[in-house]
Amino acid sequence: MIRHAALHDGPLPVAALTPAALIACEHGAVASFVGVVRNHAHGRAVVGLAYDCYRPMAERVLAQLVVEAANTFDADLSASITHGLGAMLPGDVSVAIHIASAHRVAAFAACRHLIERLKQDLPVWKRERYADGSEAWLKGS
Amino acid sequence: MPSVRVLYFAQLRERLNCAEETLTLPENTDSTAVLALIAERHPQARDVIASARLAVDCAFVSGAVTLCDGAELAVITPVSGG
Repeated sequence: MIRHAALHDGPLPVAALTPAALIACEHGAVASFVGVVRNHAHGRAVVGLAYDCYRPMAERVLAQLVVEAANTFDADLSASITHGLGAMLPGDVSVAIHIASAHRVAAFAACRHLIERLKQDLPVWKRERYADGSEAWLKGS
Repeated sequence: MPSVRVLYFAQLRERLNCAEETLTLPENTDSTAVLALIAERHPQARDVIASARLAVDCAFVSGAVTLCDGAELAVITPVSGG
C-alpha cells in the first residue's frame, strides 16, 4: 500500500502525472484526476496565476484527506496526491491525484472525494492574473 | 491570558498588509469570539474575516477552544486550491 501526500514548489513535473508507482497486482483499478491551469475564467482571459499556502497545515490536511478517503472507500487503497504552489502559467499542472483500489467504484469515488475535499479544506489560495493586467484572489472554488 | 501568533494569508494578508501578529487572547474562548476580536482590531477587513474559519495549530476549530501560550492561529478565508 502506498500513501503519498505532498506539496510541490512550482508546476507539477511530468512524473507526477502518472500513477505508475501505484500499480500493483492487488489493485485492479486506478483512477486519476489532473488539474490544469485554465486560460480563461468567467469569460476573462487568464495569463497566469499564483498559489499562496499555509504550508504546515496544508501538508497535514493532504495527509488527513488521504486517510479520510481510505476510511470511507477502501482501507487498502493506495493514494498519491500532490499540489503545486507558487507561480503557474496556463497549461501547467497544479494538482494530481491517483488512486489504486481493488475495484473501479472505490477508485473513482476516492479520487472524486479527494479533489472535492481538497477544494473545501486545503489552505491554498489562488490569485489569477488576467490579460488586461488586473489580478484577483479567487473567493473559494 | 496566553500570547498567540495569528497568521494571515492571501487576500486577507494583503488587506491587512500584515502576514502575522502576536495577540493576547483569553485562554478559554471559542472560535467565533476569536474571529470577532480579530475583526474588531481590523475593521478594514471585517467583510473578509466574516467568511473565514479559524485554525489552531494547523487544525480547523469550531466552538469552544482552549488556547495555550505560543499557539499558532490562522484565519482561513475561503480556500481556492486545485
